[in-house]
Amino acid sequence: MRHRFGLPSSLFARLLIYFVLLAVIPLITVGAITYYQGQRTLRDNILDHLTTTAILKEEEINRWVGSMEQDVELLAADPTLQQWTTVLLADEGQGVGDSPAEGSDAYESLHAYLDTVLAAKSDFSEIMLLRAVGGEVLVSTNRAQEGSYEVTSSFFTEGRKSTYVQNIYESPSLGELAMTVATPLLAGGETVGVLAVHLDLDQLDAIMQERGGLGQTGETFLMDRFNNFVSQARFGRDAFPRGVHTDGIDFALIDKRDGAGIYNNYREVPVIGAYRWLEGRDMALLAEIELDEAMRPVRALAWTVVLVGLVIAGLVGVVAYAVARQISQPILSMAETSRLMAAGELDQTGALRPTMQRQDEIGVLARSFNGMATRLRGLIDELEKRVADRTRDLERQAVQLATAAEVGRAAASILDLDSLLFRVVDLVRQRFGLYYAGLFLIDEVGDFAVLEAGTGEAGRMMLDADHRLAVGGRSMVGQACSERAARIALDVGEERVRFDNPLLPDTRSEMALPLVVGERVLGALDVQSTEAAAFSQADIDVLQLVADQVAVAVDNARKFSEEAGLLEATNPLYRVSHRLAAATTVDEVSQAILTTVAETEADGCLVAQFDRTPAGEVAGTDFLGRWEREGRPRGLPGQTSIAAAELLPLLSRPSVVEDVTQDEQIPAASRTHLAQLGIRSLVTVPMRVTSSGRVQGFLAIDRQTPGPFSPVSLRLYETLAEQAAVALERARLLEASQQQAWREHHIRDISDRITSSFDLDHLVRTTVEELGMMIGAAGGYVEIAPPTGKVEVEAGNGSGRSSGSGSNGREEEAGT
Amino acid sequence: MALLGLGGLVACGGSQEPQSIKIGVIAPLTGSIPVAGQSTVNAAQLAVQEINDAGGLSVDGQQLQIELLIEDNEDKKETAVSAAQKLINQAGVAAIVGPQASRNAIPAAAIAESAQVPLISPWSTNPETTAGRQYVFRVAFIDPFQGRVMARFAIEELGAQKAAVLYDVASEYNKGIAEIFQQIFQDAGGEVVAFESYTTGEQDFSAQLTRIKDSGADVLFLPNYYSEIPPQVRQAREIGLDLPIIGADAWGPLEAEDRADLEGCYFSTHYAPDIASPVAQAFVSSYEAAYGQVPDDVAALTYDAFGLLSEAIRSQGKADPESIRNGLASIRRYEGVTGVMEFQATGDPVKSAVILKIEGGQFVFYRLAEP
Repeated sequence: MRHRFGLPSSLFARLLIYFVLLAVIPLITVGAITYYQGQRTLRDNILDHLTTTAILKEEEINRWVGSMEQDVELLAADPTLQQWTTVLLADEGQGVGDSPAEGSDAYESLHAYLDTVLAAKSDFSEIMLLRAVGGEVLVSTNRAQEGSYEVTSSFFTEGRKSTYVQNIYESPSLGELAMTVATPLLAGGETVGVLAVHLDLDQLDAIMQERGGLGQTGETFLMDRFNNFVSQARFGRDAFPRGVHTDGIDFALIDKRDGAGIYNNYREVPVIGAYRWLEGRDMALLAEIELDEAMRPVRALAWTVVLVGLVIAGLVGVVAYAVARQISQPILSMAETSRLMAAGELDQTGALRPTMQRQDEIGVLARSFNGMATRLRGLIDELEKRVADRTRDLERQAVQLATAAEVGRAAASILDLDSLLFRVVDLVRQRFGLYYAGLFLIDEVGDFAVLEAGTGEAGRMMLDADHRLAVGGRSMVGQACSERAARIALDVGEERVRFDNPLLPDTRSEMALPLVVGERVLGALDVQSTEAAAFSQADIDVLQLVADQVAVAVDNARKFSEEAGLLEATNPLYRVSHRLAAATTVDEVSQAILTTVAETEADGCLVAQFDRTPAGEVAGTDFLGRWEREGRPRGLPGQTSIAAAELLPLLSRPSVVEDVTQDEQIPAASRTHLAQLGIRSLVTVPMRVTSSGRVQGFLAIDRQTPGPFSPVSLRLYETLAEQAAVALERARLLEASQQQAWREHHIRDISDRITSSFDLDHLVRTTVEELGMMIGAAGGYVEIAPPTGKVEVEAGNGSGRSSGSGSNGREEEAGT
Repeated sequence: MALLGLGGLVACGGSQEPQSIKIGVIAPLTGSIPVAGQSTVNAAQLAVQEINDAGGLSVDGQQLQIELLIEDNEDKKETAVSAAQKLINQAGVAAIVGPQASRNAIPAAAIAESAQVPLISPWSTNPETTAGRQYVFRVAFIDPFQGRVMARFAIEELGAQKAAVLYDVASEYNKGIAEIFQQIFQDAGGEVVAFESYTTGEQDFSAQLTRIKDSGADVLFLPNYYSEIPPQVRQAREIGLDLPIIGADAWGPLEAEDRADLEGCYFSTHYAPDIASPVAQAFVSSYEAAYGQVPDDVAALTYDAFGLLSEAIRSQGKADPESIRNGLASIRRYEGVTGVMEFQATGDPVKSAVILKIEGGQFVFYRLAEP
């Protein structure tokens, strides 16, 4: 299963990813902020620096121009120059168009003088002496200019009036950019000429080229008003015949404003630049540095950030891997363990041992888990043991019940009493795993219980010795016979009234069960075991049943012998005994009774069994079966049972009613009712187990004709009821045993399922469903109490829920 | 410090398609020859209006209007230069018409040539304007022709043997034509007995005129700009210098009130409205309609300069400086207001000159001078 955003479902992988993201996202954020702030700071610093540089350069230019003005004025005031100028102008005369003065002393002297000055002043590129009228260049250090006229030139027209600086301009006479300082030449208070000096722009460029920490690509330069480089030597004029245009230059020149920014320079290279319009100089000054170089420290910073980031990310990855592993490993281990346990392998907690050593919550979890697993294993072991024990008990009980049935069948089929008795003691000893079994019958006088059958060598020796015990004597058999009750010694050493038989030295438990028929005690069944407390209540019940059957058999045998054997095969008593001995279920017993009754003068019969509480009190009545002779008028469906219910108080006690219409004991309404059903005479017989006196139910036999039942029939009904009681008891025990066995089988099945499936929800659900199905419940729920005692989990197949704090200690320890 | 103007810088970055053809005009609107300047602007605006009214010019399949950018050069060299630079470097014009006076046209032409932007000077006659330049053209004839015409006129028509010249030595046009006249006159057997100069702006010519009077000359040649002529003639008459005075095309813009003193003088020029061709007649009437005066030769030449310019753009179908230059260079013959011009790949037309006589305050056609 994958997360829908594509995250892996593995806990470890997710933890790793989360840890790495937790570390890397802030790292990237901080890195990016650092980078951008660094870039911004650097850019601002550079712009500040460039602006400062531009301002400094502007001041330097102004200073330089100012000093040039002073120099030119000083030169104009120089006596030598004035003297020769006066002479020259005098030689030439003041008239216009006079012939040039070349070759005159004044001219040559002036030339020599100006040449000397020019040589001394590197900031001058040409010194000229112009006539005040017409602007003719009389003398120039550049002789080619002599004889030309600067009459319309600003430096001449303005220079005649006062010292004047003609800012950068394209000189028509020079054919290049020039900057000219001019000052009037005075003679006797009159302006006689103009001294003009073209400044050496290379010197200006030198000022611009002085580096001010602008790096390798930084440069400062001047532009004239019309987008031309002032330093044409540096930039070349032909490269930009129509002027140079950059954003910085155009802002400064066209908009005449100062500023700074990032733009492409004249070579189309991105630069950071500061630009200034030099108002008094008619120039723009630009200071620029290539963006690439300017931002180099930021790039270095970026690389450092990236590098450090990668290293940290790597370290974080390693640490995250380790932490994620440490966190997830025990959980994964527990998950694996619980998976194995869910698959039924409960001995897997060994893998948790390292985790359990931890002192943190995971350690607590592991210890709790381990505790839960251990307790669960214990519970399951115990459950299995109990199931095994119960199974063994049940098997034993089943065998014993089968023995009881076998004894019943033997009693019905074996008419030879000796054979029957020996068969019984052998079956009982063998099937019950006993040390010894013996049968005593009371002699005709009734003083002694004489051993008639005994198992093993001890039995044979005692028979040979005509072993007998006094009824009511100090023996368990004697006591059982005299008291008509079972005597049980679970530890023979403790039993006061016991015959310590030297032939049976290993006896630890002994039980003597009376053989009772009606009011008579026929003898006793004596069983002995080498184990202490060998007899459970179930054993006692089954053995008592055996004893009862033996008693019936002995009684029958005696009756058969009394009524001379010829009748035995056709005797209804024989058939009753035979049918009941063969019946193993309640229905079969009921059917045997009805079949037997049908063979008599009766026209109907009802078999009813009392429903008893665990305490033995009658809680209700089950009608096991009803027979009615053919052709008899029938009531409406259910009327029989209604009538029976009405008559229950009457029926549940032994009575004989010769005419229901005349009997005062029967309520008047019931009499009419019974008559409508065709019942005139009625006999009820309780089904009483003689050994215990317990009434199992009753038989209600009726006839269509009034009058008494024959004594034979009545005796038969009595015997039938007596033997049916024993058969019902046996069938009840057998059914109970089978039901118990079925339940135990299912419990074992559930137990198996529990151990094979360890999913809690599935476990609880299975348990509830299986148990509910087994006991036929409509619904059920399971409470699992947390340590606080409050119910947290509920599973069930029915409604109803309770919460409470009444949980037991085991559940608290489980800490589910 | 914040990034001042950074946004503005970015905003300036985009280039736009030209929606018009920018043509620069450099005219002496102020200074010593403002009439010539005004005539230049008048004619330029008239020509452009006519072109634009006709739908403009087809450039790259698109009809574009002409946009005029007028700069005053103050009749100063350095201003002419800066005007040319401003128009080329900052306004980005495709071509320049002007300056008119040779003293301004020569340095401006140097700038245009260097920037490889075509420049047509309508009125400049000094050979130096176009000499050795590929991007500079003119509409006027050149001074050697004009100087010869006037020298021969002096000898042949006026019968002069001794000539006197007064000229502005500081002005290329004046100086150039004066020297040519001197040369031709002497070559033709005459004698230049006085060759007097002055410099631009001077107002007192009495010394030079006195020397001329004393020289015995029988004709006075004044190759100076129209604004200087009235004072010079007036001062000459004042000192009794009563000899025939002749001039050159720079007299063209002489205004009517100045012409009284010049009665009977002759000067060479580019066209005569009274013998105008139908093309010239149409121009004259348009001009008169627009400005209420007869166009002078500066106006006529300027009008023709725009004619040449539009012819060049039409022929190339493009309006970039190089194409316009190629278009101008490929024009061999053009019939304009100032007559038929034939170009011989020098940028100078070969065309006839006219000699006008001032009679009754009017310029009257006197004779034609073929090249």
